[in-house]
Amino acid sequence: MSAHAWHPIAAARDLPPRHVFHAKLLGQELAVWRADDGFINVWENRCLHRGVRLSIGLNEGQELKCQYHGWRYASRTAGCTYIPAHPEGAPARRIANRIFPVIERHGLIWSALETSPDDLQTSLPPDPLVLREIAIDAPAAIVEPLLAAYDPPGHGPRPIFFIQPTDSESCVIRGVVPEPPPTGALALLRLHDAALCALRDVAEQRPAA
Amino acid sequence: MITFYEDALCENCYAVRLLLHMLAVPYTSHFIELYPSRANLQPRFRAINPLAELPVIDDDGVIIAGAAPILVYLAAKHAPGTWYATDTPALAQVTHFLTLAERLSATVGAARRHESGFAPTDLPAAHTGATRLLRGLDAHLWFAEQQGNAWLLPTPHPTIADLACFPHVILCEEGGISRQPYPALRRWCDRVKRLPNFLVMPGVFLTAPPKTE
Ligand code: FES
Repeated sequence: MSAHAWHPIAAARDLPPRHVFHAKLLGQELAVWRADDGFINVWENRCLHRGVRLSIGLNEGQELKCQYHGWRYASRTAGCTYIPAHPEGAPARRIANRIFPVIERHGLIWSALETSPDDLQTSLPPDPLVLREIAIDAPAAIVEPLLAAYDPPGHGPRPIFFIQPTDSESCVIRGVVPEPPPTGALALLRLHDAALCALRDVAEQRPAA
Repeated sequence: MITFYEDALCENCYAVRLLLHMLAVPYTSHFIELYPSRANLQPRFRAINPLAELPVIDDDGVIIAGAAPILVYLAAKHAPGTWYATDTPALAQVTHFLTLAERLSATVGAARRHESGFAPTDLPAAHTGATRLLRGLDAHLWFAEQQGNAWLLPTPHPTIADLACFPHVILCEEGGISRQPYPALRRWCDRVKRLPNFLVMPGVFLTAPPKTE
């Protein structure tokens, strides 16, 4: 659960053009958006002006525009490019939002809260079948043993699971099937989805039991 | 000409207003303030709707009350093949989501009315119910996307099912319910906001226009 480790924070499919994805990792809120050139930005989810969440902002392709007073931030650098109250002078380029490292791999988007020196090491194929993410209102520590005992429904292959710790009270299960069968992907997705939702019920009831 | 009895902050009225605009049906507004003045309880409005609830439309003497019935009425009258379904399974699916919208109103909407100080409710119960429904909707839309569908029904055009559910989802954060755990719902909200003639209400913001090649 280290801030230096890579964690999956989204699926690649979660970032369609002109969308701002709202992620959370280890209590840190993130605004994640794919620019029109494909570059993925992972930023602190907070406008430098008045702190409004950038996840409700506008992904305009090369810039993200804050919903409230229109401050604009450039893709890649997160540098502020425009402040409506000062339309004459270009804003100082040193006003920049906090950015986080990002890797798109195996159908997932990965990030780390502190700069990660090492490359992401996994033995996954480039294009696995990505299951629907399951957000759970229970800590990762409770979900971990339940996932270890996960019995794949049917006779399908066992997915590989990653637990994204959103904060100390909740987490997200992200699963991928490394070598999905050539047909029946949708049915396989539904089977795992139902099984993981049942697992979530167990995880969320556990503290009360 | 349609007379539309509405309140600017009511999410159920917003659903009807959206459809009126998207169908480009002319109407005149008659504002009935729900909170704090409770103008809906006045005898003058009770004479129109004995349930004293919004929204209501009066279409040249045909009076329809409630978001779902009004959506059905307008869509069946003006856009039966697109906004309203005409074949058997789709009719049942539309009804499913119209019913779901009522349940969203009773949970997500109740939390919002509570947080606005308008109507106290059992907040933990409202949140528990809301989580159940929003999770179900989010999963439904995720699988819809997997099959290449953008809307609640597997149709190329959105239906009143989308408009009935949208206001509750887009205003849920006013009730203290984060949309962060529902990525498919968030993407669907973007798609609804990009529909022609979409309009906002207080608490609802526009999204960026789609990418053009
Ligand atoms: S809070 Fe973002 S521009 Fe004002």
